[in-house]
Formats: sequence, structure tokens, C-alpha cells
Amino acid sequence: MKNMSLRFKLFTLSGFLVLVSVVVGGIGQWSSSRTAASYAKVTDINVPNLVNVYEMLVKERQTRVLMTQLALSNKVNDQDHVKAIEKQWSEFDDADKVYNTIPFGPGEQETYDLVKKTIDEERAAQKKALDTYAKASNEKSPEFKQFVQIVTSEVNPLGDKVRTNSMKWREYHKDFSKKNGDEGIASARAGATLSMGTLGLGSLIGLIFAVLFSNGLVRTLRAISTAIAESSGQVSSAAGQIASSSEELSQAATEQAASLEETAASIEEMSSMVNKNNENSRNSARATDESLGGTNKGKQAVEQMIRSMAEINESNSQIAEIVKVIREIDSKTKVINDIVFQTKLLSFNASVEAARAGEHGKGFAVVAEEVGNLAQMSGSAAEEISSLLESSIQKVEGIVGQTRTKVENGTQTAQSCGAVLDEIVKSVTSVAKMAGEISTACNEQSQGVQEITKAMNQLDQVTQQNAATSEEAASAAEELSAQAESLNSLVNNLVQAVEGSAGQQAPAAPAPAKAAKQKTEAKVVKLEQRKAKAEKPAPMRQAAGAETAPEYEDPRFREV
Amino acid sequence: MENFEAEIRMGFLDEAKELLANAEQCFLNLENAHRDPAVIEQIFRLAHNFKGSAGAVGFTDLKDFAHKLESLLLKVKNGEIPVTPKLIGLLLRCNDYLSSTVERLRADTSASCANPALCTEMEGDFTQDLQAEPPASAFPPPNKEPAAQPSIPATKPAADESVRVALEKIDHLLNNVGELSILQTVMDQQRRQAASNLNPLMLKTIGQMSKIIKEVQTVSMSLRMLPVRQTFQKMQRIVRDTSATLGKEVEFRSSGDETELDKTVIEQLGDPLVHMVRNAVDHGLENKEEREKAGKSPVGHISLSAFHRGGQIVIEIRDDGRGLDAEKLRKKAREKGLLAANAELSDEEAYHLVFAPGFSTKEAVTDVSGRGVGMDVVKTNISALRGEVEIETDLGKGTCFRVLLPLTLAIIDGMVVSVGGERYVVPINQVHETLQPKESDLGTIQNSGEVLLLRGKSLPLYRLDRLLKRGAKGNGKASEAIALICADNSLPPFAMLVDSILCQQQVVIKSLGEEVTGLPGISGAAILGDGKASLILDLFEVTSSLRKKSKNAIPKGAIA
Amino acid sequence: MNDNLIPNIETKQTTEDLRYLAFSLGKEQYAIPLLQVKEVIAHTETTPVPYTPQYFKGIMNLRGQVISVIDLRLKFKMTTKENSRQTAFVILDLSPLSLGVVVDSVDTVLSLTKEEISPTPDVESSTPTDYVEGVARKDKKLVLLLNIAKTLSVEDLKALKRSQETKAA
Repeated sequence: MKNMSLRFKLFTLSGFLVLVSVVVGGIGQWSSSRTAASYAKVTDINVPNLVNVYEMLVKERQTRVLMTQLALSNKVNDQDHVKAIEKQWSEFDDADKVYNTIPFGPGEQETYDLVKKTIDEERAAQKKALDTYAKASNEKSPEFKQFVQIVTSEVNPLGDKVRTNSMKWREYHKDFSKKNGDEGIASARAGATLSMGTLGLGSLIGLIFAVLFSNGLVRTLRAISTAIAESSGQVSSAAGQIASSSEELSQAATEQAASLEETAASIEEMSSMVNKNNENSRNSARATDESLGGTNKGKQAVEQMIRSMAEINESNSQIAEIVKVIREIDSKTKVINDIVFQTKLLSFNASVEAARAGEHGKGFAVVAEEVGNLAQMSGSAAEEISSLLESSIQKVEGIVGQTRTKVENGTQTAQSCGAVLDEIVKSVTSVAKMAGEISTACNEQSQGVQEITKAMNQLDQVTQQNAATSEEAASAAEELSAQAESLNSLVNNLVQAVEGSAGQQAPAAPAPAKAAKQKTEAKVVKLEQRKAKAEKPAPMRQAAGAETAPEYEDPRFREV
Repeated sequence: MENFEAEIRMGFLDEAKELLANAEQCFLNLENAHRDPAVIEQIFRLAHNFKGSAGAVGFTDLKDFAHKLESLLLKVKNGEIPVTPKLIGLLLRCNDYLSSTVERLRADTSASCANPALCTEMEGDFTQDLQAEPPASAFPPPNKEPAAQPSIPATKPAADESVRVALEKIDHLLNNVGELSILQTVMDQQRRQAASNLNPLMLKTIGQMSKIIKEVQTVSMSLRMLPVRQTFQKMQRIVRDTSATLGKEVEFRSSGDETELDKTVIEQLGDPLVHMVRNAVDHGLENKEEREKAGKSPVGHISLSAFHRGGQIVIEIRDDGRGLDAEKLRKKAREKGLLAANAELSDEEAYHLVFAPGFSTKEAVTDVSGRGVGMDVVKTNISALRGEVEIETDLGKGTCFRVLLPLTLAIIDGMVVSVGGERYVVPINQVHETLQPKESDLGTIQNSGEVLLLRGKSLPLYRLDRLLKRGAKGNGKASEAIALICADNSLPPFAMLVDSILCQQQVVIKSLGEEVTGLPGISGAAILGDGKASLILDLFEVTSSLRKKSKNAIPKGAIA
Repeated sequence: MNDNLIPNIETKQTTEDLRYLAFSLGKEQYAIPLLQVKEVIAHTETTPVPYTPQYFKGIMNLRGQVISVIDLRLKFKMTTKENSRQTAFVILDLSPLSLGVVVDSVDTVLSLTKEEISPTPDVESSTPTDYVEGVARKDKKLVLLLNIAKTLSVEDLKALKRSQETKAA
């Protein structure tokens, strides 16, 4: 309930009251309609029934009366009378007809049927009597007598029987009517009682509600006024604090301006350092470029050397080619040797032939032997050539082999030299790259410093502004204090309005400090969130410093 | 000029030899055919030719002699002189004289050749029928002029045109043709290897050349082949002379004298045949009395026939004489110490005793035979021709000496097989069939070595590498080896295992030097397609020692 | 027949220089009368012949003629060298035989006077002395004059044949 708004509470209360009246009204309506229904029953059923019953019984009695009259009259042929009887019966029938249209209640049918039956018997007897009467010519005729007889012995007992039987019937209708009437009364009474009860209960509940509600409202208002009082107290104290803080702030801003000045000077110095760095890095980049050129030249030289080695190798292989040629010469020499051998054999064969020719072959034998000798000589010459070739091949091969190993060694050395140079080139290149990077970084740095300087200037301006603003804040705080006073009196008025004249004064004095503290804390938190703009909260922090947690003693702030 | 004259004289002498041979045949025919005018006409023409030729080249003695002979023949031709045995004898003597004169003139063209005795005889009076026999012992010179004709080709019968060529030249030709065919084989191999690289014309040319070379080879081989006719004629003369000397009447018949034999064979065959024919007349035939006693016709019969049988030439000398008595031969051999007293010889082996040196069956030594020399020459000469002598005799009915000779000495169809990396030539007519035996077809029978199962029969199986004792170089795997099935009419078949068959080709048989003849189973050498020498094997002989061993009979040792 | 051949040559040449063909076998130098030489050819391939002794090298084709070749080095039971370029076949003409012999090298044709030939001294040689007819000194070198016909005598060959026959048997 407490959570509900005042408006809701009021709405609920009045709503409830409306509901109660509606219920009461509903109940009244309901009970009166019930009563009406009961009475409707009486009028619509019981009353006509009673009328008809009466009619019917009356008519029947009439008939009997007329019959008896007739019998007593001794008049014959009294047509009027008969007609009257018949008229009575037709009226009876009409009533009966009406009666039958009205719905039967419980147990009504039986009673009715019994009555009707008896009546019908009587009616039949009357008829019989009347028929006889019609036959009688005078008052002495038998017929008349029979007629009298029938009336007395037959119609009248039956009439009595009807009376007896109709007693029940009448009784039924009497009871039934009474019952319905009673019902109506009872329901009227009950409706009244119920509405009264409901009304009473609703009023009671409404009252309770109202009491509760008003109590809550008062409590709330009281709390509000108390709170306002407190708040205004606090506002005033806070205003005081603000005033002092503003003062401190302006002082701090002044200090800040001084330190800003110092910072600017430092930054100036830094800028010049950065510029120097930049210059240096550019110089080193130039130097690495130069050394790179040097190593490249060295590399070219080494490559040249390797090429030269390869050329030497090539000429070496050309020498090997020459060796091959020499070998071929050697193999050709072997062919020569073969030829020499063949020639030798030929010379022997020639000698043989010459010997066979005897005297005639003598001259030829000499020739053959000469050929043989020549073959021998050329053979040994070829052999010598062969051995010379062999030795020269060996020598050349030795030289070639040596040169080859030397060249191989040289090539290897040159190649490793080249590899080292490659390595150097790589290093120098990376150094150059790094120097370039440093230079770039320096440039960026100096740019950054410039930007910082700019920022410092801006900062200075802001600080000046801060000082001015803090003055303004102090005066504003005083004004605030005064206004808090006036608020306090207003609250008192409200309290009085709520609580009556007996209402307490707002508990102003102790609360404001607490509230102020809470508020300051909240502010500090906010400031901390904005710590990037550290310069600004500094005075505030210092103002609150004594009370606030030591965690705010952030060294970063001091460095700025 | 002198040379030229000598040349034409030598030419005449060569021709004269032929003419005289023909004339001799004619005289013999004349004797048999008596006065056949055609024969007389032929003789007259021959004599006329001879006379003309002799006169043309300046052999006046011969011309004169021939003139006288011609005059005599003219008389015979004209019927002035009857043809008597005496006349024929005279004519033959004249012929002999002319032959010997021609031989003498060949040695020395200036030799004198007058024979007044024969001239006188020829001029003698034949008009009367002279029955007196001229002295038979000496060679007195009565006779008609032998046929001598002027060398006018037109008068020669056109039938027999021939050129006389020195055998040496033919041998030279054959040698070169052999080399040519070797070269051709090499070229053929090259052609097959490089068939795709050669142009079609070249291929065709080489193919055609191969054919022509084969043709040339066949023709040049046939140059050495001569009909045996002349030799047989000579035999007829021998029979005539011998029988005349011994006073036996002999009828000589020859058949198959057109059969051709290698010139060398014919030359080598002459002496053995003379010996055998003489033997047949002298020892084979009985004298008239004995023949009559034995119930034979008094005239003895000797027939000489030549025919082919399986790759051999068979020459038979058959007589209807007394036949050989094995018992007598054995007895005689023992007497002469040619046979150990206790040595046993079968009849067949005993017959061969006639070839033993110093053995004669004739009790008395006659002019003709019986000195124990001769038949051993027969054996030696025929062996040298790679021939054999078979003796067939029926005691009391006759003897037949059968000389079996190879068809030619120069060429065979060979199968080149490889055994342990070496190549051998096997005469193709020894190989009946070749097959690659399955492992399951090979088996061993105790005590008789390996066998090859061929179509249900088991043949002895020999391994050529083992038989030749060439080390265990042959591949032992029977699955890769080839079996040659060798079969001959007279010997049981066997199988010879070789490594592979390389090719089949005709090879020219080259005789091996004396130093290597007689190696068992090695019948000669051949030069194969690659120009290398290869041995020709006689598979029957290679295995003969094994067969003989099993038979346990060494007749040769008994004779030696 | 062979026996007649050599004296013939000698009688023919007594008045003049005797001509010999000198060849080497192993370390020794031999010579045979030039007239017994048919020709000299380079080493060629031979075909071995079964049933023959080791020194019978085989047969070869000499321009269509089949010639037997005997390795003299083996015949003299020398250790054979590998066939070198110098190895040659000397084809002998010992009518009726034509034989080839393998020699290590053929060196020269020698002309010797009778005076230069001395009878066989007891020199140390691998050759049986029967085969050596004499020795000659030429250029300070000792040359053994070989009776090649005797060395390769028919008797010898017959012995060879007999051995083959027994072998074959």
C-alpha cells in the first residue's frame, strides 16, 4: 500500500465507496424484483384461480339451487328456469376454460380433476333430471315426480359431494395464494435486510480504508516535509561548502596556471631535443646508406672474382679437352702401333716369299727386311710418342687437377665472402630501415610535442576561465544558501498544513552535513570518471580530500 | 711365239688324251658289237681328227702314225678287212701306244715317237682272214691307225661341247666361292639386323645376290663332279686284259656309269678298283674246268655298278666265282702270323682279312695278283675317301665287294648346334628329329645310362658336352636343352642332348690336317657364317665307342 | 719327308746366309728357317677341338683353309702370358702339314752365316734340347735355332692321336 501513489489510493477509496453503493443498490433491486415476482404470482395465478374457482363453484351451486327451485316450484315446463340453469353451466364452462389456461401448480391437477369429475357427474345427473322434467307435462306427472326424485336423490347428493370435494380444491388455492403472498413478504424483508447489511459493511470498510489512507498520506507528507527540511539544511551547508570550495578552486587554478607555465617550458625543451634526435637519425640514415653502397660494391667485386674463377675453371676444362685430344692422339698412336705390327708381319711374309723365290728373291728380301726395320723403328717411335703422350697427359692432368682444386678453393672462399657481404648488406639495410623509422618517429614526436604545446595553451585558458568560474560559483553558493533558508520556512508551512499546528519542525540541523557529504562523494565519483581532464577536478579533490578516501591520492595528479 | 706354240701343243695333248680314251671305248665296243658301221664311222672320225690336230701343231711322227691308222680303219670301214679279235687287239695296242706317246710328249714335246714295228703291223695284210694270233706277251706294234682328226670344230659332233679346266683352278674357285658364301651369310645377317635401315633396292639386291651365290656354289660344286664312266671303261679294259692273260673267259657288265662322283674321289678310286677287279678275275673266278665242274657256265661274269644309296655312292664289284672261305682265310692268317693262333674271328671279320697287308689267298703268285699287295691299298685309299668296304660272299656262288663313298667330299647340309658355348656342325641327314624334352621324359636305366622317353619308346640319351669332354659347361637343365633324335638304317636310334640349335646351313667341308684326323666323331671342319672354324661331328661315331663297349667286340685290334 | 726338307734348304743355302725368322717365347728367343714359314698373321680366334691336349689350341680359318694351331708356350710348358698385341701366329709349311703356332711375338728375320751358328751348348732353356739344332749369337742375344719339324714331329702327333684315342675310348 505504501507503494501506491497517492492518486491511486484516492481513486481506490472512492472506487470502493461507489462499489458499495452499487452493491447495495443491486441487492435492493434484486430483493424487490423477487418480491415483485412473488406478488405477480399471486395476481397472475392465484387471484384468477381463486376467481374462477369461485365462479365455477358458484355457478354449480346456482344450478343446483335452480334445480331445487324448479323441483319445488311444481311448475312444469318452466323454460326460463331451465335456460337459467343452462346459462349457469355455460358460464361455468367459460370459467373452467379460463382456469385451464392458467398453469397448474404442484398437486393442483389432482384436486381439480377430482372436483371436475364430481361436477361432471352432477352435471350429468342434472341433465338427466332436466330431460325427465322436459317430459313432465304437469306437476303431477311421474315425470315430474321422477324429476323431483332425481333432483333429490341424485343431484343433491352429488352436489354435496361437490361441495365436499371442492373444499380441498378451494383449500389448495387458498394455501397456494397464501404461500405466494408470504413469499413476497419474505423476499422484500430479506432484500431490505441485505441492503442494510451491505451498506453497513461497505461503510465500515470505506471508513477503515479512509482512516488508513489518510494516516499513510499524512505520514508521507510528514516524511516529505521532513526531508525537504533536511534538504534545505543540507543545501545551505553545501552552499557554504561550495563557497569555500570555489575559493579553494580559484586558488588552485592560480597554482595550476603557474605549473602550466613550467610545463610549457619543459615541453619547449623537449621539442628542441626531439628535433636534435631527428637530425641525428637522419644523419645515421645517410651513414647507413653510404655503408650499404660500400658493401654493394664489395659484393660486386666478389662476384667478379667468382666469375673470374669460373673462367679459370673453364679454361681448365679446355685444358682437359686438350688432354682428351692428347688421349685421342695416344689411341691413334696405338692404331699406328697396330699398323706397325701388321707392317712387321707383312715384312716377314715378304721375307718368306722372297726366301721361297730363292735367288730371284734376294733383292726383295733386302727390301722386305728394310721394311721390317722401318716398321720396327716406327713402332719404337710410336711407342716413344705414346709414352711421351702418357707422361704429358699425366703432367697436364696434374696441373689441371691442382688448378682445379685451387680454383675450387678460391671460388669457395669468394663465395663465402660474398655470402658474408650479403649478410652485411642485409644488416645494413635493416639498420638503414631502422634509422629511417627512428627519423619518422622523431618527426612524429616533434609534431606531438607541438600539439602538446598547443594543448597546454588551451589548458592555460581553461584554467583562467576556471578561476573566474569559481568566483562566480562562490557568489552563487551564497545565494543558494539564502534560498535554502526560505525553503526551510516553506517546508515548515507545509508541515503545519499536513500535521496541523502541532506538526513538528523539520529536522534540519543534523541531516544537511550527511547529505552534503553524500552529494560531494557522488560528485567526486563523477570527477574520477572524467579523470582525463584531471586539471579541473584538482581543487575539488583537494577540497574534499580531507574527508574522502586516500585512494584519490593519485600521484598522477601531482606530476602534471 | 715359242710359248704360244708350246701352249697349243699342250692343248693338243690334253685333247688327244680325251680322244684316245674315246677311241679305246670305241674299239671295245667294236669287239662286242662287231662291225657296227656307226661305231666304225665314229672310230674313223676320231682317228681323222687326231691326225689333223697332230699335224697342225707339228707332231709329224704322231701325224704319220695316225695316218697309217686311219688308212687301216678306212679299210675296215670299207669292209676290206674283217673285224677280228686280232684286229681289235692291234687297234687297242696302237691306242695304248698313242696314249703313252702323248704322255711322253707332255713331259718333253721334242721326244721322238716313231714306232716302226706297229706301223709295219698296220700295213700288214689283213685282206685274208688272218687267224694267227700276234704274240701276246710283248707290246708289238701292229695296228690300224687310231682315230686322229683335224681340229676343225665343224666336223665335231655338236653334242659334247666342253672346256678342259685344271682341277687346281676349280679348287681355287671352290675355295673362293666358299669364302663368298661366307661373306654372303654375314651380309644376310647384317641385312636381317638392319633391314629397316636399308633401302628396298639394296635389300632386293642382296636377296638376289644370295640366290645367285647359292647357284654359283652349286654349279661350282658340280664342276668337280664327273661321271664314273671313264673309270668303268678302264675296268672293262682291265678285265679284258687280265682274263686274256689268265686264259679265262669273262663277260663284263657295267651299269650306272653316268653316276657322278667328285673328281678327287674318282681319281683316288681308280687304283682300288683296279685291284679289286683284278682280284675278282684272278681269285674270284674259277677257270673253265672248275666252273664246269661246279655246274656253272664256262664264261665268268663280273659286273661293276654304281648307284646312290642314302647320302652315299655305292660301287659294287660282283663276281659269280667261288666266294670267300672264312675257314681258309683264318687258317692262312694263322700261317702268316697275322692272327694269333687262339684268336677267334667271326666270318665277317675273317672276310676282312683279305685287306690285311701281305695276305693273298692265291697259292701261286701270278703276273696279275697274289703278291699280297693291293688289297691293303684298297682299304687305305677308300678310308682316306671317308668310304667303307663291305664284303658279301656266298661260298661257291660269288663275292660282292661294296665300296661306300660319300656323295661329295666338299659340302654337306649341316645343323649348327651349341654346346657349352661352343659350336659344332652336325650333318643334317643324321638328325631325324629335334625336340625339347620335358623333365618327365628323361630317366635313367641302371647300367645303361640315361634314356629319353619318346612316344612310348625309350631311347638311349647322350649328352654331347660329356661325350666331348668339354668340361661341365653345358647347361644341365634339360628343360632348355634340345634333343636331337639320330637315326640311321643300320643303327638303333638314340637321342643326343645339346644346348641349342643355332641354325641350319650348308657348309663346305674342310679337311683337317693330319694332326687331327681320326679323332673319334670328328669328321672335318667347316667355316661358319662369321668366318670362324667349327668342327663337324659324326654323331654315330661320337657314340660308337659307347655302343662298341656295350657289344664288347674290337675287331680292329685283332687285325692290327 | 720332313726330314728331307731341311737338308734341302741347307744345301741350297750353304754358300750364302741362312735366313731365319726369330720370335719370342717367354723370355727366350727362338728362330726357325724362313723357308719353313708360310706366313705370319696376327692373333685370331681359334676353335677348340675336343680330345686334344692342352697345347693344341684349336683350329682356325685361314682364308678358307682350316689350320690347326699349337701353342708353343704350352708345348714347352711355359707359363702363358696373356695374349698381347704382339702375340702372333706363325703358319708353318711342313708339307704335308700346315700348322700354326702361337708365339709371344715375332721379332725379326735373321741372316746367319754358318760361322755364327754353334752346336747346342748346355744352355739352360725350357726347351728340350732335342728340339734345338744350334744356337746363334746376334746382337749379344742368344737365339735358339729350333727344329720345328722335330718339335711338332709326326711321331709326336701320332702320339697325340693315340692319346686321344685312348682318351676317347
